[in-house]
Amino acid sequence: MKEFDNLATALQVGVRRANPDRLPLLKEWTCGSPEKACLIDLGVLDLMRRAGMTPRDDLAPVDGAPPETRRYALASVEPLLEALDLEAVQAILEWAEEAAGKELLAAPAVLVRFLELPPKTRTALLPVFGERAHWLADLMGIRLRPPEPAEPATWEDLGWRERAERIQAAEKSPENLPLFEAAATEKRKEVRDEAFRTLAQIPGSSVATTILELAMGRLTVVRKLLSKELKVSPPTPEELPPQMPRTAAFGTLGPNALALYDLVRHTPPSFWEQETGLQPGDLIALAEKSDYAEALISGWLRAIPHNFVEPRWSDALLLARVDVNRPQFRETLCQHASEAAFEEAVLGRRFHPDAVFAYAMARGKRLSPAVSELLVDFIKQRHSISKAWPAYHLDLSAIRFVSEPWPDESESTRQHLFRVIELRLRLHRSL
Amino acid sequence: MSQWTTERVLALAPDASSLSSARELSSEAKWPSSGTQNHALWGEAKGSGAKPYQTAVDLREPAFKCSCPSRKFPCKHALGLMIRYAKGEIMAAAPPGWVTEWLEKRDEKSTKQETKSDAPKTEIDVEAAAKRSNKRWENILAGLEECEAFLADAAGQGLLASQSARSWDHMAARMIDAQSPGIARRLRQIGLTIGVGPDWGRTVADQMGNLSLLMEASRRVESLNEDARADLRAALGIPQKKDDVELAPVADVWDVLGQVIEQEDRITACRSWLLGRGTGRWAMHLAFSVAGRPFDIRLLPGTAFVAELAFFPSAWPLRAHLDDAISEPFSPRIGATWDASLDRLSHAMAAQPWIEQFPVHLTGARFGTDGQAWWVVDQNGQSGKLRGPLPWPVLALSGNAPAEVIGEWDGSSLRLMAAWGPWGFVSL
Repeated sequence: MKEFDNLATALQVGVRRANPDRLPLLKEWTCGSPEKACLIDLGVLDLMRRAGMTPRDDLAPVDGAPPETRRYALASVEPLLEALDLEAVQAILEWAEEAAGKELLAAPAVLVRFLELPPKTRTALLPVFGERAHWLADLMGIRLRPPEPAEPATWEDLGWRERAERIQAAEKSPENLPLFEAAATEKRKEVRDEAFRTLAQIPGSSVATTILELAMGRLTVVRKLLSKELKVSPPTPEELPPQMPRTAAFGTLGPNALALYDLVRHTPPSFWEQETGLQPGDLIALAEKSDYAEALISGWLRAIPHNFVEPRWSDALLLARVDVNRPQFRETLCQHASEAAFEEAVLGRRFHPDAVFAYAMARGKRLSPAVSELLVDFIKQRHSISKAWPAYHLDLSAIRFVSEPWPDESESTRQHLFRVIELRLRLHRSL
Repeated sequence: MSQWTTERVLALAPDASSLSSARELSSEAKWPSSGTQNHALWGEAKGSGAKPYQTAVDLREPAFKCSCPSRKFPCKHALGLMIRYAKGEIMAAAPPGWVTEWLEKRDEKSTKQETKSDAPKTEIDVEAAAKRSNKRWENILAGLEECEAFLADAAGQGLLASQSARSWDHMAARMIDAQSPGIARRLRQIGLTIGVGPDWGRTVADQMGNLSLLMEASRRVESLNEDARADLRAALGIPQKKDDVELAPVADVWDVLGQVIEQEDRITACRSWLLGRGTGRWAMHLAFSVAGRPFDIRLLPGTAFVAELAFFPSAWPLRAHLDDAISEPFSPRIGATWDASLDRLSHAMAAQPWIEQFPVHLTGARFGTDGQAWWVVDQNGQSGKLRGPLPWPVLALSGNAPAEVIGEWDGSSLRLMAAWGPWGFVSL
């Protein structure tokens, strides 16, 4: 309505300043001031507009959601909504893994709440997102998949950090050898060290060959009448390849022991098995009795998993009589050790309770019923332990240990554990 | 008693954190003792202190009592206890002394109030009420004179050059003093709109024009009939009392189609839209709450009840009062098209020009977008713009298949309240 627009403009700039010729309705008003006349006219026009409103007829609805090829997990809606209210994201992710395994999808009733979760969580939920979820995410302007990576920049354009990262990310295969070998001569030490570590892991590379040649004959088994002994011949620092990353100081190790430590951490642990003909457990036991116990054990701990992923060695170190309460064990053993070895070590009560928690958390997977029971027992006795995370890693059978009241000082922890495990249990049963 | 479901209980939560805490507290382990009898529900919740918190609920309203220090209402303990009750986890038992004492006090208070309201009004009461009403009207007219000068000044100088939002607030406060909260609310709204958004000039022009008409009508109140006067009084914000309702209530099965809860300063207003299944008549139940007190649980969207609704006088009666109700399964009439809905609005506005929100119920509705806003498209392909909550939950459930949609139309756009279809009911 032109009259309305003219009056609205007059109102903005000031009715006293407006051109009366452009306000015909105003001129017709016979009572009151021009300001009042303008306002009353606007009121009348507003009434006319609202009462005479007509709908728009040139807009089509958006296309409907495509049909699903998998079934919805409808029975999971209620416990999932509860988990969302409690912000129990880990329980939801656990459910999603199980649901995806059963070829089930998140039901429409939870989709909006799921899509509003942080991007990282949404990505983890992708396996339970069907056609409806992707369709809805598009409408909501939410990107479910990370954007396609841009064309990689050339080596020359990269800074030293990016170069080190690129080496780390590159596949450790003979095809990439030229890249790694070029990087091994870089100016920046961080890039050179990364390249060396990588080359050491590629069988047949010049670095791997040099290391194995240097390692040969360093450990020999001396057989006695009733026992065996490990004879260790450490290299001197000068013998190490010049490009090998060196450790400046480590515990009480002297220069030769330090050189041995550096050599061991860059050598595939399986090489020592071939050298000595011993299984990892026997070799570790002999190494512990040798003069170079610290250099060897720490070297192996460092080699796994930083340089070489060898689950048999993880298990052997975990079950050996070395000091398992060292923080290095968290990365070294707990990510790669088998469930059986982990359980045996924990049930043997060789860990400090705090270490058990840290290691169990590092594993990031559901604990066995026996380990769960032990952990619940720890929690009950040490009620000060952070209560937040174990509830999501304990086996569901642990519900029976947290169903009855505990002593007052640990009762609130028990209630929290019960609440979360019971919710996980309901999510599990809903599938 | 069976009307309590977990969903209904959660609808009472004053905020999201209460909801989450209530879920935590809904496990049996948190309640060393609990019980229920008739309309009473109680329990003792373990807290951080040595003594457990004593929580009681009168399920009739519901009303709550808890010895915890929380200022939220209802507190997480009451909600947690009610969730357990809704799940059928609380056994019948004889109430302890502190519960019976509280219930007795409540009954006593309620009896006193009933006696007071049933007492016939004396001539002195009627005379005093008329005197108060006249005094109020004088105050309003005096306030309107100041307000008119203020608006004329703003219009004369131009909104770009004139008063700040603060001066509109100041004028609004003056209108509260003049016992005209309806005008005060409109003034505050204008102050908040000036300079905000690309189309603020048109919006403010609408708002100021509407306000000026309202003031002009107030001055000519003597020339209006009774119903038009009642509408004018309501628009000015003069409270409508339970006694003002029309004598002939309308009996029907009322489906609760939608609800809008809005915060106005420290008061929360709740508009519930009901549609009579037999009469096809619309009703709006308006309730206010302070300090997070819950609203009437019978008015939960997606439910229905049999009741006699008493409408307040109006040239187009919408607002109604609800007393007793018996719950019924939700099964509303089908809706209309945009054309029919806006046609109905035209008639309504011709009779009652101060209508601010009007219910629109569409059948076979789907959603569309023009890239900037979302629209609801009816079965004839006609559409109206949406404001407020976006339709994501509806789209998630319906996949944009035709649905029944209910919203509040303000003259330019629709505030989506609820939608339903074969996939269920969703309230926004």
